[in-house]
Amino acid sequence: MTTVLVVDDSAVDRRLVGGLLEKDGELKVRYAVDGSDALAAMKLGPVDLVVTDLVMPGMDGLELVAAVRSLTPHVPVILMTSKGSEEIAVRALQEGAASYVPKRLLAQELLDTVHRVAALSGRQRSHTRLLGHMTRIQCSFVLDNDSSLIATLVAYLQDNLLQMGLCGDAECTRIGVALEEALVNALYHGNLEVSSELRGEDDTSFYRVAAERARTPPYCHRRIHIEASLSREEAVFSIRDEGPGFDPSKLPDPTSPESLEKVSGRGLLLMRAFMDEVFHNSTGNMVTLVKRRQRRDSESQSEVA
Amino acid sequence: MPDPNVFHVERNDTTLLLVPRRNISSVAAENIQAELQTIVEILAGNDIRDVVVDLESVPHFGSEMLGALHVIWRRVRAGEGRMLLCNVSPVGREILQVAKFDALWPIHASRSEALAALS
Repeated sequence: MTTVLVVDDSAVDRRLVGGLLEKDGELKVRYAVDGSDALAAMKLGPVDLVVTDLVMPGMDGLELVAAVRSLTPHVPVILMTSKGSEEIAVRALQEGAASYVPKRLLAQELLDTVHRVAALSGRQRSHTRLLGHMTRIQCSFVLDNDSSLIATLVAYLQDNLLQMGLCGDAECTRIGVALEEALVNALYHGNLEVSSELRGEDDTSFYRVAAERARTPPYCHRRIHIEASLSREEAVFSIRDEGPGFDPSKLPDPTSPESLEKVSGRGLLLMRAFMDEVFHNSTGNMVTLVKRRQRRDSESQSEVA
Repeated sequence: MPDPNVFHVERNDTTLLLVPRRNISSVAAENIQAELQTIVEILAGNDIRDVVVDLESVPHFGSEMLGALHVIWRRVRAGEGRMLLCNVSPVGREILQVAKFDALWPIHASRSEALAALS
C-alpha cells in the first residue's frame, strides 16, 4: 500500500485532497499542516509520496521540495498549484518536484498523477535496489583521437566506481585524475607520438605538432582501446594505444633535482601516486591501472577474529 | 554561446590574472596552442611582470594543465617575475605535491592574498 503525505495549511483543502485519495483503496493518507510539520511526519513513519500545497506559511512547498530532495531523494513530491503560481511551479519542477496538479483540476487529475508518479518512483527504487546487488561491471570503448570525449569517459567510469561502492568521492577523484593521465598519454604520446621533450622547446610546439598529427596518417587513423572491469573489491582499467610503444624504465625520474623544472613524466607519476598498481605491457603501448577497495579497520579486525 | 577558452584572462596593474574554467585534457590541441600563444604574447609585452593563477573552478587537474602552467611559468621567469597559485583544492594540492610543482609555484589561500603577496 502506498502512503501519501498530504501537506496543506488549509484544513478544508486537506480534507478535500485526503478525501479524493482515500477513495482509492490502494492509498493510505497521512496529513501535515506545513513544510516543517511534513518533515517531522516523515521522520515518524515511512512516506512513499508527498502531495503539497505550494503557498503555505513557514516552510512553503518550494522549500519542502528542496528539503525532501536533500533528506529523502527517493520520495517524490507532487505540488498543488493555484492560479497565478505557475512560475513558482516551474521553479519547483526544476528543483526536483515530480509533477504538479492545478487545484481547480484536483478531482480530475490528482489520482492519476499520484498513481503515475508512485509507479515511476517504485521502478526507480527497485532499480536502485537491484544495482545494490550488482557484482561486476565490464565495459569496453574504442575512441578516436578526440580529446573532447576524455572527460566524459572518465566521468562515466567514476559513476560506475561509485555505483560499485569501491571508493568514496575523494578517492574517486584521484582515480579520475589517473585515468585522465592514462588516456591523455595514449592520445598524445601513444597514437600521435608527440614527444614530451617538445614541451621544453618553444612555448607551444607540443600542441602544434599534436594538432598537425591529429590530421595526418598514420597517426590520425589510430584508436584508443579502453577496457574496464569493476567489482566491489577492485577496479582494473586497461588503456591501449596503437602507437609503437615505449620503454617506461627509460623515462627520467621527474622528481630528480635535474628534472624538477621539466614537465615531462608527471602523468605517469600521478598515475602511480593515485592507483595501487600501474604496469605496462612489454611493447609499452598498453597501461593497466588497478585500484583495490580500502578496507576499514573494523572489517579487517572482524576477519581476524 | 559560452566562451570556448580555457583561461579567463584579466590584467591587474603589472599582474596577469589567469582563471582556468575547465580542464585542458578535453580541449583540442590546436585550441590550447592558440590560447597559450595569446597568453605568451601578453607576457612578452613590457607591462606584465607577474601571474596569479586562480584554480577555484578546477578542483582537480592533470599533467596537461601542469604543462600549460609550465609554459606560462617559463615566460614569467624569463621576465624575472613570479607566478603564484590560489584557491587550490585539497586534491589540487596533492597533485601539485606529487608532481613536485608546489616547490616552484607558491600556493596562496585566496586571490586577494596572492595579489597582496606580489605587491
